[in-house]
Amino acid sequence: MSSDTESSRLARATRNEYLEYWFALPAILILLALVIIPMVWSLYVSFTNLNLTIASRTTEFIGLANYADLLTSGRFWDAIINTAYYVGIGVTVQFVLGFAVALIMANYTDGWLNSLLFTVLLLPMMMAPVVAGLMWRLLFDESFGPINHLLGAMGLPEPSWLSSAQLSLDAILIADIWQWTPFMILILYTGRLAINEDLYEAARMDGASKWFTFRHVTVPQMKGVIAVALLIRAMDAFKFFDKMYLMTQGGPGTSSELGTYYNYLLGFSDFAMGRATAMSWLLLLFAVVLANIFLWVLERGEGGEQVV
Amino acid sequence: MNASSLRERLGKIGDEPISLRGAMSRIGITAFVSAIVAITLFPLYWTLNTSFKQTEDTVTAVPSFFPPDFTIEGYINVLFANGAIDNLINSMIVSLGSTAVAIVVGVPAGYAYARNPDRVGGKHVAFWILSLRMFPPIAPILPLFFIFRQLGLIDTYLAMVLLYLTFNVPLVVWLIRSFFQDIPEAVEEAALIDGYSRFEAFFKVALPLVMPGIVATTLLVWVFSWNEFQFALVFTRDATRTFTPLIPTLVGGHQTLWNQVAALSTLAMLPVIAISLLMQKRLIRGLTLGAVKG
Repeated sequence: MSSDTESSRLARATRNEYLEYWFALPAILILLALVIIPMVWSLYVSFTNLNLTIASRTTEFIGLANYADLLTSGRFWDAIINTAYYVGIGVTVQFVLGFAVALIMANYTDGWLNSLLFTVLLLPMMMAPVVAGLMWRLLFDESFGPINHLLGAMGLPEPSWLSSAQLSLDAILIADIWQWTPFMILILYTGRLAINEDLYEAARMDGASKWFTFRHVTVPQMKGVIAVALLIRAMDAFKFFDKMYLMTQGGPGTSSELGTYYNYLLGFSDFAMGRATAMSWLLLLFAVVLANIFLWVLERGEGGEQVV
Repeated sequence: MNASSLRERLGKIGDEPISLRGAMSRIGITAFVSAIVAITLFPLYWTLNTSFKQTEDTVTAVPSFFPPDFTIEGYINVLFANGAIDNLINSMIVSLGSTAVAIVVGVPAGYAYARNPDRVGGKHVAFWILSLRMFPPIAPILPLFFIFRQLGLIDTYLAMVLLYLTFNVPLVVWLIRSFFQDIPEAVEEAALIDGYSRFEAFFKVALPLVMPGIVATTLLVWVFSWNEFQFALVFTRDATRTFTPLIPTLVGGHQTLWNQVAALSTLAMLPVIAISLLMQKRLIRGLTLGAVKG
């Protein structure tokens, strides 16, 4: 271009004034069409008695009846309590174990040992939850699984993991802890390495105890990373029933039934679309409330830390 | 603090490697690392072990820690006699298709939100996109099943590719946004002064710089699509069933062919393991949606 003057350059740059819109629009439209519009429709259905098996019945508006039925149903609350247990205990154990291992890796192991650990720990969390479920289904089997075989060899009781109403959810929990503790370890390890070593040097010079250093250097410095790790893990544990589906299908009875799975059954076993969509809105509500409480606690904690 | 106590403390730190305590702690560390590696790998090993057993050797009362009669029968039978090869191919078609669309759509959007966070709805829309990643899949599955049934899309590749966009697009937008944010805007401004259009500055200057990030994002999105279960469970039948909903149908009933299920699981794991080894530290960033930079 021969007439490459300042003004023509400017004109060419401003001609693309709407570049962001063209760039963002396809993604936004896809998400509107595939998530938002269906979810609006789902909200409408949740106030009706739509049932996919009763074709002849006219769909009627029944107000909050679906919500009321769910909130007074024992099975609904059992599923919610199972989910709270699964998410609460699971994520707590994963976090405590993960944090401990991450700090040991950062402080005591070095070089190739850490590379080895890093590589090995990537494996569980990248595999399909269904496949992880299958692995633990094999391990926990009561007649040919190695876990009970080893327990028996050590003279310990051999519990019937997957066919016991007391243990089935715990067995799934153990599989989840196996799969996702590595995620906690690696995130927290990465976060710990990002802390400026001068802070630890200063604490050492001041004669600070290990606990004091942990409490007043490590934890406040890692607050953001800890929040991200907990939030992502809690949301994912809440979302997926893959492992449960493979290991117990919610059984025996409904002893290991998670909220999302009961919701799936309402929709695709009972075909009660009205009640199923109502439940999915309740689940969404729980998730949003949980995330907000969590973020609120975090913000408050950060404010407190500044005072100290 | 006085000088002698400081010296004492520094001395303690310096002494550690040669002291008895140091040797003890080294043994402790070795035991610790071995334990973690063993616990992490044992379930994988057990599946591999099961996959190479004869069918009757998988259900012995005393489980064998090595295949007593090594065979690849499980692999041959599950792939060809039971046709699981078709399910793996379906998984490949759906995951590659959805990943490709998500990248093509998501990369420009990620760029837009990285460079001009105040436009196109700004932070609110950006966070809205992220929040979709947190949706329990069952929530959109219910209305989409109804809509797709009306459109005759149940059990089609198109449906699966579209469905996977619901979680792939938010992930790509958010990750790519974080990768573009790492690149100073001055690079593109220089290109604009050189007479590039804004599109050219994006395509010829910024895009090549984030290529490693795009590759990492592509691999991660592919893994999530490959592993996906709930959408596949509801929306696939004989024509498009992927391997994830197939596995539970092989388990249960009175006679489970464990060597075959283990063989299919092992095959499904192989590409994912290869990708994990390839990505190493980039994975951490991907799995935390760009929040933690490894």
